Amino acid sequence: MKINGSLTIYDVKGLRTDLMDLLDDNGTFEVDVGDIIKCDAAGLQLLYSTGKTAVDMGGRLVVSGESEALRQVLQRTGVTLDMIMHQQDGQETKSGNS
Amino acid sequence: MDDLNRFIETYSQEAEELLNEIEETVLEIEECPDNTDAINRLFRAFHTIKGSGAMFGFNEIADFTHHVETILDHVRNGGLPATEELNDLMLKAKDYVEWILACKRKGIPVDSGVGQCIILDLNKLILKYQCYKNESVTHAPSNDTETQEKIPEKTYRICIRPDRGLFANGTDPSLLLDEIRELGECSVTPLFKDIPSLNDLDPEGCYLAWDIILTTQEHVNRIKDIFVFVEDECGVNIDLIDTEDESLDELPAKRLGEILVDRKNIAEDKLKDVLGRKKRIGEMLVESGLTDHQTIESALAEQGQINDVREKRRGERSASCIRVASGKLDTLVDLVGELVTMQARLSRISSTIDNPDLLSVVEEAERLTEELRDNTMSVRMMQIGTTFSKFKRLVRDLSKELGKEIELFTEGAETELDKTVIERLDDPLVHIIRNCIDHGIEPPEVRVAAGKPATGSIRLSARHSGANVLIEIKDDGAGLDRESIYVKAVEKGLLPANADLPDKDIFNCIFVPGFSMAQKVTNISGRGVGMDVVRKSIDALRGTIEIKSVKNQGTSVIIRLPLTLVIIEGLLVEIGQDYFVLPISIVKECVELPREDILRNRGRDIANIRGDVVPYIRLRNEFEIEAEPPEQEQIVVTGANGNRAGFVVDRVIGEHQTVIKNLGKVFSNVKDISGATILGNGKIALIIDTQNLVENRELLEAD
Repeated sequence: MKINGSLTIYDVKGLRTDLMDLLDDNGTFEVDVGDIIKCDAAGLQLLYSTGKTAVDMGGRLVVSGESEALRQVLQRTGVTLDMIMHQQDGQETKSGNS
Repeated sequence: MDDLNRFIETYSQEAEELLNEIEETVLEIEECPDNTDAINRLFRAFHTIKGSGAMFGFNEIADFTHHVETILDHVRNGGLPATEELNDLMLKAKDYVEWILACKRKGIPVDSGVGQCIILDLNKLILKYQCYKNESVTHAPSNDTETQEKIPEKTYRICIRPDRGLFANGTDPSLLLDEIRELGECSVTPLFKDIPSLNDLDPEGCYLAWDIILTTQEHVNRIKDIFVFVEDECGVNIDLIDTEDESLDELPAKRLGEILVDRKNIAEDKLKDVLGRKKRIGEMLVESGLTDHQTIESALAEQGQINDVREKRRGERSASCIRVASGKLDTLVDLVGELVTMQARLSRISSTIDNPDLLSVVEEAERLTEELRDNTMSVRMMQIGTTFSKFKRLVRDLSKELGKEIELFTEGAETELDKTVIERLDDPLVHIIRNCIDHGIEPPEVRVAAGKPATGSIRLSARHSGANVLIEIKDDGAGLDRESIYVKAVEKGLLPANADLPDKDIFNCIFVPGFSMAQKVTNISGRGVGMDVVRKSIDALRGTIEIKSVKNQGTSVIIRLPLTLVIIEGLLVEIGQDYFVLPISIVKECVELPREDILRNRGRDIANIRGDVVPYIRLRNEFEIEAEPPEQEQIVVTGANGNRAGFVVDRVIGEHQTVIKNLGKVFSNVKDISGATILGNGKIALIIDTQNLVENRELLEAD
């Protein structure tokens, strides 16, 4: 599934429904984030929940594509794509005094 | 678009409250520049405005307040003194933010010129302060190196545990994290364990949490400030875990479990797990001889207690206030009014049906209705203090402008009045206080010459007096010039010449339109429009206004207002088949008017009541009621603003709790009736605007 444009608090409700429809079968699927131009913590949370659901069902989530907006939110919230895909809790990420 | 408007509205409301707080706080600081509590409050208020401003897209406000915050930070850290110059700028800053909000609401583009000027002035102030500081440092003896020593770094553990509603509230936690990062070196650890799978996920609820380790030179208050505007939606725990400073005495000693966690000997959740089964950790610790049972119990009790207290406080904070649109309140009051009327009808009907079961139920319903009515009315009540605090600013600015020294004292700020009354009281009070400042209080040199203290005082007080509230504005200025007013009044044909009149009659002249005693018209007052407008506004609130003045000692203006405009205590009277209500607050007495008295007066509408001459109006004639008058009519004598007038009616029925209903647009030009009410028997009674009726009659007779 490709997420277009925005992955924010305003979109998560609709996207959750879309994602749940896709998750029906084996739990493994791919989300293409390449076209995301807006993203916030609520969006990340949805991605994480999707990953968790996939793992619970015995499958996994693959995030593909690169998005500057997503990268920034990840960096600001201390989250990595690894955490989302492999469902680990946080690891310390250093961020210096800028 | 609707959403946007809602955001603007919510933000504006919040910001307005904060701006009021800012104004009050600045004035507080002005009185006591060392009040660190007030300075912190000021900082937090601007910080909240900035934070939520950025969140709701009010970038002009966020950018501007950022500068204000910077300078306040200097003040807070004890360097920059809270001078008059600074206070002036703070008030200007407050006004500017208020103006931006007004522009946003009206959809007008914001001109940032004013803001730039304020920022420039603020920067100058910082620069001045820094020059001064550098000077004092270079002049300081060379052995005083401690002041230049590096500020010690401290490391904090910040645990952020947002509530579910954080996102819905418009908060983006990444902004909070950004702000923390600005303070120093930090590591951010996101916690996902609460995020459920898609099935159980409320996508708009916040399940994320963070643990942050921050090493910074900033004071812990700087960290706390970041969370000021989300403190209700976000649990935040800040612990000092490491410091370069040797003096750790002021900190509570670390508990064993924490030390173990800090040393990474055991994982935090493991420790929590064990702590949950307190018996085992107690045993373990006791076994290893580190501590005893009691210490463990006590530590747990302390933790529990603190949590409980915090929880309770948080609960109280969120439950203590809710925002309700005033329109909803008006509807509620309206409905309760209807209910009270219906209840009266029900009581009346039930009293004719002799059924004990029904009677007891109706009585109970009556009690509940009364309670509901009183409660609903109290919801509309607001403390007058909010209005009072606005005047502090007015007095401060005007006295400065006029080169006078004036202090404002307020009393009874907690007195409650109906919301509408308070709102409509604003303008009249401003007028009166302006008059006090401009004409009342003399310049310092004149005061000193007259043997008074150089600083004049204005006392603003409010207190309850029965179903009324008395508001008094009292100054210790020059007082009204009785003679000059009298001369002017005679000149204008308002009063007869050479008459010995009471002060009241003479002072009342200043309420006449166009009557001004000011020798020069200033931009503050003196145009002769003002006191008559004041009088009109107070009349419209069904209140009265009175002036007392002693030359060279001061003037006091006393305003008497009803507690509420929705329900009045009325006197119910009957003429023919019709009912009328007169406000009981102005009724002085009711006496019988024998027919022979009318004849004796030969049709002139004047009654002789115990030797006093009282002019009266026959309501029967006024409202053209054709029914035959009874043998014995009654006269209701009223007195307001010193004028006595009688109203002749057929029968006085008695007191009546009157729920006022507007007559509606169709009858908006009916002058002598101020409203209507529905009686227990379903009939309508008109509420008479006695003041208007008397004035109209006087005008007619004058013609």
